[in-house]
Amino acid sequence: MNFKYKSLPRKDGPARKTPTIPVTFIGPGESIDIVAILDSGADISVLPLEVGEQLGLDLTKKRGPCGGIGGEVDTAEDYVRVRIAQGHENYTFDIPVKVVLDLKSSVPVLIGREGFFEEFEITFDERRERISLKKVAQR
Amino acid sequence: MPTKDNYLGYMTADLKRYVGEWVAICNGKVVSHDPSFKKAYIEAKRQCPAKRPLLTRVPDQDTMIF
Repeated sequence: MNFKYKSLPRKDGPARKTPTIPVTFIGPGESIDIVAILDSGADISVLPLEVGEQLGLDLTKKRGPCGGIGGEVDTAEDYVRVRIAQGHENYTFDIPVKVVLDLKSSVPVLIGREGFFEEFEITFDERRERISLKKVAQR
Repeated sequence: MPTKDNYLGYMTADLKRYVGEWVAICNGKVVSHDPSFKKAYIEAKRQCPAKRPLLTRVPDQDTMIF
C-alpha cells in the first residue's frame, strides 16, 4: 500500500508535507474513519479525548502522565481495533493507544510504533513524498 | 474503511482555512469543521446520515507531537 504525503498548513508558518494514512478505528461504541499522522518517533499511538470517548474506549485503565515534544499530559491506555485498506489489501488488528485526557490538548491522531509498525515493512520516501506499507508475515 | 472519494477529497482539499480544527469530509467534500471533534463529527453525520465521514485534524503551532 502506498500513500502520498499531504501538505498540511500550520498557523503562522509554511505548510509541511506530512506522512498521513487513512485508518478506520473500531471501538466498542463506534467505528470512525480518520486520517492519522504516521509517527515513527512515537512509541505508541495517541488519540485525543473526544475521539477516545466517541469510540467508547475505557478511559479508566492505566492512567498516568505521558511525555512528548510539547510537555507532559495525563493519559489512559486501552486497545483499539484498526483497519487499513487500499485496493485488494485490507488488514485489521488491535493496537494499544494512549488517550490524552486533557480536552484542551491539541494533539492530533498519531499512529505510533507499538502494535502497528511490527505489522508492516514501512518506508518513508521523503524524495517521492510517499509512505509504503508492506505487510510482513507473522512469526 | 474510508471511501476512495473521501480520501481523494482529503488529498486534494486546501485545508489552509481550517488550521487547528477538525475537518469532516463526505462525498469527497468538506461538510463540516470545528475545533471540537464531536461537533465536526455530529454535523457531518447530520449532513450525510447514510455515509461514513472521514475526519482529520489540521495541525497548528501548538500541536503536540509525541
